[in-house]
Amino acid sequence: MGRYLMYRLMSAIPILLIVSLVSFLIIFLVPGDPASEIAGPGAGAGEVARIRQSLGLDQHVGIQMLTWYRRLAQGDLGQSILLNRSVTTAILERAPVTLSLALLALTISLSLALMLGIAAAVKQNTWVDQSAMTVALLGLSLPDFWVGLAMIYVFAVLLGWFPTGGYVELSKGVGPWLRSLIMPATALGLAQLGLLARITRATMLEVLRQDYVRTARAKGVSERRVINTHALANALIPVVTVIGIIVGILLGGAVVVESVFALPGVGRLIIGAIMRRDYPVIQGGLLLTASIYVFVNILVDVLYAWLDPRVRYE
Amino acid sequence: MSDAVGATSASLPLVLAPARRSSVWRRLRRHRLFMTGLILFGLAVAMALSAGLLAPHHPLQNNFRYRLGAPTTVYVLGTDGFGRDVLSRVLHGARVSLRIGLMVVVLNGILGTLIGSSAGYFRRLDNVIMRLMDGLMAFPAILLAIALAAVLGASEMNVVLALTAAYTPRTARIVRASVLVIREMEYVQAAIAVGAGYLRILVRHILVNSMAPLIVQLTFIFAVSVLAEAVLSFIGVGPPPPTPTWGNIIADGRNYIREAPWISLLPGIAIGVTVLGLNLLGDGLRDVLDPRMRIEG
Repeated sequence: MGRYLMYRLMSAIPILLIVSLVSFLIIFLVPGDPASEIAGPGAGAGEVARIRQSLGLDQHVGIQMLTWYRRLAQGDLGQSILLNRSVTTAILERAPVTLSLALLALTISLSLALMLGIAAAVKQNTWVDQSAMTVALLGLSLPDFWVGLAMIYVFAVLLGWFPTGGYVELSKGVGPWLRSLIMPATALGLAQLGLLARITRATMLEVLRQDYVRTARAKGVSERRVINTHALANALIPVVTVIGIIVGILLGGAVVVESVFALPGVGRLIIGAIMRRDYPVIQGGLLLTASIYVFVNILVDVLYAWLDPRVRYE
Repeated sequence: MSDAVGATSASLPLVLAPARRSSVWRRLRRHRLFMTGLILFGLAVAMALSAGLLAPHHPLQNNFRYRLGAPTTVYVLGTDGFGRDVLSRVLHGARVSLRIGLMVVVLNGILGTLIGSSAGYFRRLDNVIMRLMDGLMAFPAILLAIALAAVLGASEMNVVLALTAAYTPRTARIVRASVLVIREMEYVQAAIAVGAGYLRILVRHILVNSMAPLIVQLTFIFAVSVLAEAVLSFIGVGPPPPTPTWGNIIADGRNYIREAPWISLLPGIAIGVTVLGLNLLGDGLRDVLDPRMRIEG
């Protein structure tokens, strides 16, 4: 197990190298001069030169790259141009919001997906199956930010059950915190429902045909117990593997959903940076999100290997 | 045609092809969900094609006396904050959204095939190419697309480029996987033995036979591109306003969600119908063309 973990960590190194290289190079895709883009159309030559110098853009590309990696080694992602603080600080300040949102969305979509997937598998080829899969497919097909807007209209504007946006910190109480997150998390989670519910259904169908399930039924175990303990435990394993993929989609989706619900998270930080051409924040945000994604996937792989010893090859 | 054996072996699939194609179509026609998808996606295509005929107003025409107007007989689906007809904008938006989706699919198909088959066929390139693809895939695709579109500047072409860059690695990986399987097939070995050239083997023997997973993948890429384009437009890095795209219209309506919820409603449904249609098409194609990948049912 330890060896497998080591192997997975080592294999992340080339990926992280490419991720950091792409994040570094992305500023060179700016058409024209990034410094004058940042300064804006009305800026004088002195202002542009000052920005160029503060970003190190006046130096040779090789030097810039060395600086980028030297800083990375120290956990330094550079300075935000507009926020007057380091990119790392800016991201860390907002990380709890995005983390809460993503975790809650994952919880919502996992629990709904398991219910739908199991119901569909147990009642295969009935109306239950078909409607569960239709709901799953709809979640996959509707844009999450639009679902968010629709929820704001129905539950905040018409019914007044929830605030239209904004974030309440956990320290102000679990209730208000949940109330501020439940709509964005549902909007974000619904989009992941499709994949999860379909995989749950597929593996559940496979597991329900296994001998040991038949044995359990034959010896008189109640159907509920057969499904909830015997079958589900094994059907969950493949579901674990897609959680890695889901986390990636959640991290990306959070960017938009946060902006719809005015949540002060990393996503909104990145969008703000895009609007105001704060390139270091865009670069740092990209790099950090991708790194989190890589490590979550390693964690998922290791968890998978732990759950299912057959995959521990190499 | 001096290479007689090569010619026969290559024309064999061509002889079989028409029969196989019609049986594929017959099976697709019996696939109820595929046909539903075809109708839904057909609806979106019809919207795009007939936007010029069906749209009651010009998509950019303002009527400042009827801003945020509720649906009436003149403005069937109401007007937006600039007094523009929402229905006309949604119809014309179908053009932009589907055009972007189609361009992403074409570029994605070409690049994905080139990259994936080079990695699968030329062993020495495999490691380098696939590590690079892994690196690109480590970014959440939508985030990479947002960042690229933002850096390149908001325009339709840049949206296409950003989405292509974000989704091609996945396609390349799928093409590589099927090339790896097919290159070991006996008939490929036979073609090598007969002395067919690299390119001929790759194109006529391997690629032609690895099309099924690619077609399925590209259908899903189309769906994802329509969704992603809406996201990019919505946050302001897509085709710049006043261009009517579905994402732009939803973004326009967002600030008037209390007074004029109809602005954002329709484009969202249009996206939903298109993407649902494409997802159903993809599922159907996978069931018929590539049954091994089927999510059991």
